[in-house]
Amino acid sequence: MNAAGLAKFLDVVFTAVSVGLEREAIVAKVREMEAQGATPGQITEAIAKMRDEAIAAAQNAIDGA
Amino acid sequence: MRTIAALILYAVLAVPITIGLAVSCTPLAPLKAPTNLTEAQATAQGLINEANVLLTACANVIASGVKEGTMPKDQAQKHLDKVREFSAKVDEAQALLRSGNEAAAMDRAQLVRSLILELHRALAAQARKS
Repeated sequence: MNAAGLAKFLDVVFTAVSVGLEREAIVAKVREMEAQGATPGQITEAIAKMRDEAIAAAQNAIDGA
Repeated sequence: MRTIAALILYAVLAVPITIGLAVSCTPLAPLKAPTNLTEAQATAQGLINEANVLLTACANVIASGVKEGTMPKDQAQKHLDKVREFSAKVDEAQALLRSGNEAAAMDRAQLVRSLILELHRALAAQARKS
């Protein structure tokens, strides 16, 4: 494997580790909500709300950097 | 010597690669969709929920990168603008589904999902450069 190939391969690993682990954490939260009896409709709303909050938090982090 | 270096490199990479592949290849049980939906509607809703989860993960990775100083501000803003753009498309898919157009909603959600995966790759490339 040459340097470019290795770099590309590492991209895949970084993707899986960083975004993938974040995704796992969010899905775990959703599973917890399901276990607590939230309806699928409530979960759909909660996921959309989580997304908007995460976007706002990221914007705050950028503005504050 | 080169062989030994390669072996050490592979040994060092083995753990993150194993974790990475485990995370990316493990199929998750689909997020539940309301039971009063038809199968097509439930599939579309599942895709929309998954897209929103992926976008949330992207936004969290961007926030962490900026806070840790591993992602330059201008790059972070560029990626976050994409997250916003794709979020708007997911919202369009949700609106289509609510109006009863599940086929269009599913098409839109699938398209957005592939765009989000491209964004994941861009974020990963950024992480590697940092």
